Amino acid sequence: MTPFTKFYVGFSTVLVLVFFYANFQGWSLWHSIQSGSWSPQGRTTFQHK
Amino acid sequence: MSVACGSCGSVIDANDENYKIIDKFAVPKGVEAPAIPLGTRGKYHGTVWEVVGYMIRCDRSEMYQWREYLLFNPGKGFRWLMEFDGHWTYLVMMKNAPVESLMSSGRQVSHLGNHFSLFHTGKAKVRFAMGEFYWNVEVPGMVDVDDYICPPEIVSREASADEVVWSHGEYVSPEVIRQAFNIKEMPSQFGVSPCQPSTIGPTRDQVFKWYAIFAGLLLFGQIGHMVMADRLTVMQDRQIITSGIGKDFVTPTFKIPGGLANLELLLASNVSNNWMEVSGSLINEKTGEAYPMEHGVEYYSGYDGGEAWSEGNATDQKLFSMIPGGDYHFEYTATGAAPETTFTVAFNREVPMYFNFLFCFSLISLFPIFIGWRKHRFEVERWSTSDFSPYWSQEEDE
Repeated sequence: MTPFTKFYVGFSTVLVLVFFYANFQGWSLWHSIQSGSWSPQGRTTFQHK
Repeated sequence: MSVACGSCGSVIDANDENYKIIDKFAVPKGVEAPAIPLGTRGKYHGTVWEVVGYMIRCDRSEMYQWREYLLFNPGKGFRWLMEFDGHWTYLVMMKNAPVESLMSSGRQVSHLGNHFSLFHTGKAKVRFAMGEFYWNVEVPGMVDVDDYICPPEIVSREASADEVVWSHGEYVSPEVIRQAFNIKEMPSQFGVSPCQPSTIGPTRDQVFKWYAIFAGLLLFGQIGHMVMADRLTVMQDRQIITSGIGKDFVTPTFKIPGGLANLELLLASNVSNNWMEVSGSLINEKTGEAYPMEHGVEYYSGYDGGEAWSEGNATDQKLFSMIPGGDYHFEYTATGAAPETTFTVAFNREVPMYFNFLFCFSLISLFPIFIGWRKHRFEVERWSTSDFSPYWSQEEDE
């Protein structure tokens, strides 16, 4: 396996894992990109009183 | 057998006991000295070869010029090393002619199961020769030449009035030649040789194989996600507002089942040439955690120049990520500009998402696209000097 292939396999493995995690948790990556925050929710919450 | 003198240009018949001069050529000015001096020995493919002859050859226009070294081993016979633009090819004379065929892609020859595509056809002549040769060297000794390639191999046909000679060659890395013959100064390398193997080739094959696996996993995951997404409506609240001041609403408690999942806020209204919006918080009754949410819709339509137009939508939805299951209520303010707006706020649980798939699929596709493009450029460059390039129309476009 060439170094480039190793990098590609590593990179794609992470992406595929993120994809499965996001889908199972209901995490829309689009929201994170829109909000510029890579927290899964892509939003803030507050404590309601 | 003949011997050529690189100084005076005389070619003598070595089989003649009087060393009869059989040819004499004008030695070109500034003739290139051989990169591997005559008499040099080197080991290649486990055999010690001695350089016994050196020729400079060119095409009929003398635009392209290459150098050929005749190698000799007492047990194995003769071989050729050809150097062009710093690229080296090791050639062996073939005992049998390969099978020639005419395919839709052009002329081909087959040799040992490999199919070689026609790369070049033309004439070649000798400009300069020095050393020993197993035939009577003639300068210019014009011959017809056809080159067929299947990188890293090449098959060449040389035809004179007397004979047809087929040779089979393989590309040799300059570093291998340098080490084999202990050359101090190698010719500079330019461009791509006709039979040079692509350095990207192995990476491309590996990356494409892995790409198929990863793309399949993503596709499998996306199909599974769509099948499992039940889009359950967990709350629906229908209300009416009048223009101007925002009106506050609090929904009854509703249950969001399951663990973490997405939640879609659906806003359906009857707005026409107007707008409305809701803004509020989804509140978890157990933890008190509030999720701010806002969404608006607008819809405009009319006629302009006799043609109907419209923009916006009276119904729209917005997705929120990773909302935990539990008991919730939604406190919100609805505002609209129309005199009266009827609307429905609804929450749908576990709606199918597409962006995650498209985003990840695009990212894993970038590398194969890049690698494929690099390989394509390499092949275009390889064939750029050929009259039989399969890329010729693209090259013209580019």
